[in-house]
Amino acid sequence: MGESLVSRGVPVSEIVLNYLPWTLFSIGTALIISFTVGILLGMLMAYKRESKLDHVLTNIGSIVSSIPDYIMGILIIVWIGVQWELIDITAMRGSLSPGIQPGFNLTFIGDALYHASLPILTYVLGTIGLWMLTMKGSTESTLGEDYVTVAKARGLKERRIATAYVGRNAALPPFTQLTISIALVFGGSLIIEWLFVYEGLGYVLYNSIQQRDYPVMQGVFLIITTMVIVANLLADLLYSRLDPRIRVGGRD
Amino acid sequence: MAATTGESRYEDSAPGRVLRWLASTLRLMARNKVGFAGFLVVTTIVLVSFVGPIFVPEDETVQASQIYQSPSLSHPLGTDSEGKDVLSQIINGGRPILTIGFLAAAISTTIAVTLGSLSAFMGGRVDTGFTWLADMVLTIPQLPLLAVLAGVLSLNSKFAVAGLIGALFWPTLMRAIRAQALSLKERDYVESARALDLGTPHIVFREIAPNMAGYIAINFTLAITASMYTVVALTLLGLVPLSENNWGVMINLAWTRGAIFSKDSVFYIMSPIAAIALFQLGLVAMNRSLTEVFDPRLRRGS
Repeated sequence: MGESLVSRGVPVSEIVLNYLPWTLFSIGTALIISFTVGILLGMLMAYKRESKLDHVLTNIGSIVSSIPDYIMGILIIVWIGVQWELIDITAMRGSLSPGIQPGFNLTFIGDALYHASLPILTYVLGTIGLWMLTMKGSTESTLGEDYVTVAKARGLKERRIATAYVGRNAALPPFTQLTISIALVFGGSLIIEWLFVYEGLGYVLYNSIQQRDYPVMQGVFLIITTMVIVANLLADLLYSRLDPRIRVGGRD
Repeated sequence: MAATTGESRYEDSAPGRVLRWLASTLRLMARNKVGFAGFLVVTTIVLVSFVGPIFVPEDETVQASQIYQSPSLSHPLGTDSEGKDVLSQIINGGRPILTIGFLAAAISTTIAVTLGSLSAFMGGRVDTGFTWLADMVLTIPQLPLLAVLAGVLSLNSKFAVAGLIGALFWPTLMRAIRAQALSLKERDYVESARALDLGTPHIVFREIAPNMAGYIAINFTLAITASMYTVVALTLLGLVPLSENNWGVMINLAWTRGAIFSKDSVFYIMSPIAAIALFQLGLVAMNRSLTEVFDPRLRRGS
C-alpha cells in the first residue's frame, strides 16, 4: 500500500497492522455486549408488556437510540469526566498505559479493557436502543405464533419456550440489522476514537486527513471498508446458521 | 353545509385555496397535542435561526476579562472562551446547519423516492442495477468516506457539503420505498393507470408516490436530523471550513478550547448540543401529527 508521506519509510501496511487490532477489539467487544444485552432487555420488555419496566426501558431505548454516538461521547466526557470528576479521562487516553507489554496475561487484558472502556461504553449506548426496540417488536409478534401456543399446550417448560422457541426466532430481525450497524459503528469509530484519543484505525485516519497523508488515508479507508464487507459476510454466514430456512443448498 | 359553500366560493382563487389548505393542515396538526407542540418547537427554532440574526447581531467583541461566565441577565447562556455571548452565537449559528440539513435531506429524499419507485415499477435490469447501487453505497462506511472526501476536496460551500451528504444518505430510504412501491404497484388503480397507458412518469409520480407521502415526509424529517448530525460531526472534526459560525463550529471550539479541562465551559459546549437535540425532539414529536396530515384515512374520523 505504499509508504507514509509524513513518517518517511514507514509502510502503510505496518501502520494499519499496528492500529487495526485496537479498533477491532473495541468495536467487537462493544457490539457483542450491546447485542446480547439489547436482545435480552428487548425480550424482557416483551414478556413484561405494558408494565412499568417496559415503559421505562422503551423510553430509555428510544432516547438513547436517537442520540448520535459522538454526542454521547461528548456527554460522557463533559459530565462524567469533567463536571463530576468520577473518572480520570486523561489517564484513560491511548490504547495502553505506558510500559505495559502486550501478552496473554491479566495486567495486559485489564489495562486494554480499562483504556477501551469509554469507547466501548459509547458504542454500546449508541447501538443498544435499536436492538432493544427491534427485539421487543419481534418477540411480541413471535409470542402470538401458533408454534408457541402449541409448545405451551405440550406443557414445555417456560424457560425452554423462551429460549428455543421464542428467542431463537425473535432474534432474527435484530440480527439482520446488525449488518447495517456494523458499517455505522465502524464509521463512527473515526470520531469516537478522536474524542477519547483511543489509538485505533479511526484515530490514524483522522490524523492522516489532518496531515494530508494520502497513502495512509487511502490505506486506512480501504481497510475500514474491507472490514465492513468482511463483517457483513460473517453476519450473513451466521444468519444461515441461525435461520435454516434461508440455506440455499440442495432443496431447489 | 356551511363548509361546502365556503369551499365552492374560494375554489377558483389560488390564494384562497392555499390559505384554506394551510388552515386545514394546521387544524390537523393541532389534533395531536404532542405533535403540535413539536411543530411549535420546530417553527420557533427555524424562525429564531432565520429571523433572529436581524435583531440579535452576533457578539464579536473579545473580552478577556469575561471568559466562561456563568449565565446571568446580560448573558443568559454565559460566555465562551473569548468572552463572547453564547446566546447570540446560538441564534446566529442555526441557519447554516439547518440549511445544510434541509438541503441534504431534500437531495437524498428525492434520489431515494425517484430511484425506489422507478426500480419497483420498471423491474428487471433497472431494478437489479439500482438495488445493487444502493447496496454498494450502503456498505461503504459513510462518515470515513465523507471525512476523506472533505479532506481531499476542501469543501468551501454549504451546497457542496449538502450535495455530498445527500448523495450518500439515500440507500436506506430507497430500499424501503422500493418495497412499498412493489406492493402499491399491484393495486387496482395502478393497474388501470397502466391499462390507460398514462406513461411511467405519470404512474410513478401521480399514482405511486402520493400514496407514500406520509412515509416520505417522516423520512424527510429523519433525514434532516441525520444530515445535521453529520455536518456537525464533520465540523467537529474540523473537516468543513470553520470560517462561518454555526452550532457545529461552536461544539468544535468549545471542545478544542478546553471543555475537557475547564468546568466553567459547560454552558458553552452544552448550548449547541441542547439546541440540536431540541430541534430533533421537535421533529420527532411533529411526526406524530404528520402521519395524520398525510393519511386521509385517519382524518375521516373527525
